[in-house]
Amino acid sequence: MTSRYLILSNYFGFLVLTIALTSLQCSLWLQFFGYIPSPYMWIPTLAYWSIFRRVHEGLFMCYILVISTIALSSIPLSLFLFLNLLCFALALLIKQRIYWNGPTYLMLISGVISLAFPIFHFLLSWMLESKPISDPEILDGMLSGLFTALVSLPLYYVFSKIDTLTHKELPTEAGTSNYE
Amino acid sequence: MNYFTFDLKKLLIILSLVFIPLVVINMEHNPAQRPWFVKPFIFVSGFIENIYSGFSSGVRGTTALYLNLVDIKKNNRQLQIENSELSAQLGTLTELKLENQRLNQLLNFKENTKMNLLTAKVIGKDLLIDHNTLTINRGTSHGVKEFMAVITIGGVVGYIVQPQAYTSQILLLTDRYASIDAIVQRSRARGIIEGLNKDACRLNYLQQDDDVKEGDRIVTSGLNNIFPKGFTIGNVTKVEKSRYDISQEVTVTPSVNPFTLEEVFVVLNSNKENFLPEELENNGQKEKAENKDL
Repeated sequence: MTSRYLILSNYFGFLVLTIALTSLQCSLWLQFFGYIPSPYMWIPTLAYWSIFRRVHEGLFMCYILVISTIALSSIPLSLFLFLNLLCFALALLIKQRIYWNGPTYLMLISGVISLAFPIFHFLLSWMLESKPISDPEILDGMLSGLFTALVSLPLYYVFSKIDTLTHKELPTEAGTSNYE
Repeated sequence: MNYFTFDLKKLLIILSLVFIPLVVINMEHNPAQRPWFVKPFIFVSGFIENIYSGFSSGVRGTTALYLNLVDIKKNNRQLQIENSELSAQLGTLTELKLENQRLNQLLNFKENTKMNLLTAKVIGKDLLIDHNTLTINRGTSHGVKEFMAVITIGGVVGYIVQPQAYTSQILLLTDRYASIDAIVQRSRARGIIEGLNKDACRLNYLQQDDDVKEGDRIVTSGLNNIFPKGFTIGNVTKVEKSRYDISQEVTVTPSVNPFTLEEVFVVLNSNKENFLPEELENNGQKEKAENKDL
C-alpha cells in the first residue's frame, strides 16, 4: 500500500473506532448500566491525536470527531466544536509542560480533558447560549471523567494496534519523534 | 490286645466326647433358651460384635460419607448449574412478564384513544450529560416528523427534534431547550413549560396574579394539535412570587421520569383528543368568560 492509503486508512480506522465507541456510550451503556454516567468515548481519541500527532493532524482529527459525533447529541455544532478545540488546546498545553510515553500518559490527558470538558461546557454555555446550563451535573461529570480515564488505558493498546497496522510510527519519547 | 483293660484317661476322653454332649442334648428342653453357662459368652460375644459392628459401620460410614461427598460435590455442581439456569430463566420470565404488562398497558391506551400513535423503543441517550435527549428506533420512514409529540401512558415525554430515516431524537421536556405550551388544570392559567434540569422543569410566562398552587397539575394546552389537550405534564412542586416581578417562578416535576422509559408513543396525529374532564373544561370556560366580563 502506498503511504497515502496508509494515512487514509489510519484516519479511517480511528474514525470507525470512535463512532463505534460513541455509539456504545449512547446505546449499549444505556442497556447495561442504565443512566449511570458514561465515559466520554471520543475523548481518548482526541487526547491520543493531541499528544501523539502533529498539531495540524490533531486539529484535523478534532474536526472529524466533532462532525462524526454531533449526531448523537442535541448540543449546537458550534458549541461542540469550540469545546473540543478548547480540550485539544488544553492537551497541547499539558504536553508542552509534562510528557512521557505510554498508556498512563494517555490516561492522564484523557482524565484531565474529560474533567475539564463539563467546566468548559458550563462556561461556554453561559457565554454563548440563550438558555445556559442552570444546574450543572457536577457529580455525573466527575464520574464520567473518571470512567473516561479508566477506559483510555485499554484503548491505548487498540489505538497503537491501528497505528501498527497502518504503519504509523508509534509514539516515542517527546522531541525524538516526528510528533512534535 | 485287651480291649477291656480299664484306662481312666480313655474313659474321660470318651465321656467328654460322647456322653456329655448327649447329656446336654437331653437336658435341653427349650432350644431357644440358652443354658446359664453360655450366657456370659453370649454377652461377651455380643459386646465384641457390637464393637466390631460399630467399627465396621464407622468405616462404612466414613467411606460412604467420602463417596457421598464426591457425589454431593457432583450433585452440588449440577444443582448450581440448574439453579443458575433456572434463575436466568426466572429473570427472563420476570422481565418478559413486566414487558408484557407494560406492552398491555400501552396497547390498551393505544386502543382507547382517538390519537394516531406510533410505538417506539428507546435505544439511546445523549452523548453529553447536560443535554437531555433520547434516541428512538423510529424515523421518517415510519412517518415521524420534526416536532411531533412523544408521550407515554403516564404523561408527556418530549417531542421529536432530529428525525432520521430509521431513528429519531426526542428532546425531553426537562431539556433546557424544550418548550411546551401548558395550562394549570385547576385554574386554566397558561404558560410555557421549559426544561430546568434532568429532574424538573419550569412553568414560565405566568402572570403575577395567575392562580397556581403547589400540587396543581400541569397539562398540555393542545395548541397546534401537536399534543393532545389536557394530557399530564407534571405537578407543581414550588411557587415563588416576587413582589417586584411581573411573573412568578413555578417549578414543575414531570409525572414521567424519562430516564426509566423503554417504550414511548410518537403522536402522529392527536386528532384533537381531549383528556380534560368535562367539568374542568366547563369551569375553565366559565372562569374565562367571567374574567372577560370583568
